[in-house]
Amino acid sequence: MMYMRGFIDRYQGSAKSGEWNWLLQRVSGVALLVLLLGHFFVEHFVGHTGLTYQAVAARFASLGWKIFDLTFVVFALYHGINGIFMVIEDYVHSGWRVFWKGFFWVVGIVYLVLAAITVLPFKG
Amino acid sequence: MALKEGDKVVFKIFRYDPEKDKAPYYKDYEVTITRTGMMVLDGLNQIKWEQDHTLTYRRSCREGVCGSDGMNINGVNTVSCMSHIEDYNANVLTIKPLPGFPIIKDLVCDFEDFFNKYYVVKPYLIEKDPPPGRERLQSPEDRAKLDGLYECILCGCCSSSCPSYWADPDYLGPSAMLNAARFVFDTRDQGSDERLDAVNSIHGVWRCHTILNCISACPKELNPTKAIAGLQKEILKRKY
Repeated sequence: MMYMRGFIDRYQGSAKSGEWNWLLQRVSGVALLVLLLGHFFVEHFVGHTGLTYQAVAARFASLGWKIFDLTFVVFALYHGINGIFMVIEDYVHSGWRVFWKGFFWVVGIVYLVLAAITVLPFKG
Repeated sequence: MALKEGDKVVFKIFRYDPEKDKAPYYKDYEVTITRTGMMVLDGLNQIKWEQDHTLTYRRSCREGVCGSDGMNINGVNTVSCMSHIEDYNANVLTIKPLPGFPIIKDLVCDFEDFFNKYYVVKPYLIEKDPPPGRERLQSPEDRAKLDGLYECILCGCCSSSCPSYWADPDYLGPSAMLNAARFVFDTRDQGSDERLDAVNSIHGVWRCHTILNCISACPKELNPTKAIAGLQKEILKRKY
């Protein structure tokens, strides 16, 4: 079976097996579900008595809410862009793969920065 | 739809001879039901033997064991020898070669890539210890773990139905990985590390998107998706 040696080597000892992408896609999916339910719970059922600018601003200014929101953003961006990466790996086999992956890396970083400068500096 | 003797069913068959035809085309043949319970393969044989001997397809055992006659009948991959004509409830059967495989002629596909991927997972018993000098015994419970895995006849229906297999030319596909699982979960086998190493690839188990076409395509009613999930679990279990 020597003739297929090169063929088999393609599948051996690959440094990038994709198992992390696969596993973290599941982990981030479950995390998003929990975070989304938490988001709904806080937004719709907690402290509804004073629905004023002050009440909302106070929540946005709290450290806990900032951590919650940023975690949400990080998982959502990872889950979405990792999903797009999987589609790219499925369908793009030419040099365009590098371009598209790079493009979505940039998109991810831009959105992360936008989210950070929106959420973090808010003081009320 | 119960078919009686003398009923006619039209077979609309994909024809392509690369030496003669510029492009593939469909040709209609009328198959006469000569007895109840006729299989699609019986219809194809009737066409080849009585109407048009240029029609080309693979067949051998005609009972779902050799895996030669995988094809796409009315949009579903199956082996023609296990498919009753009347089960399609249609007056016209559209018969195409397996999708996603290179076509050699008519319904005959090139399986070279498919079998190369099969050999990647080393589909044979690997033993590090010296041979026992007698048969290798296994408890009925351990043997039962191979049910749903060992029955594969390599007809190619599952891999050919898989959109990930169509999209990624290097994807090992459900068939090769079901056969990897058949040896990984065999208690007599000692080669599972090298096998798992081969399927732990961006073109291996992680490329499966659980589309589940392979399950509905398999004429032996096996579950390649479940086998792939088993391999994924096994890889993660051994690492962490």
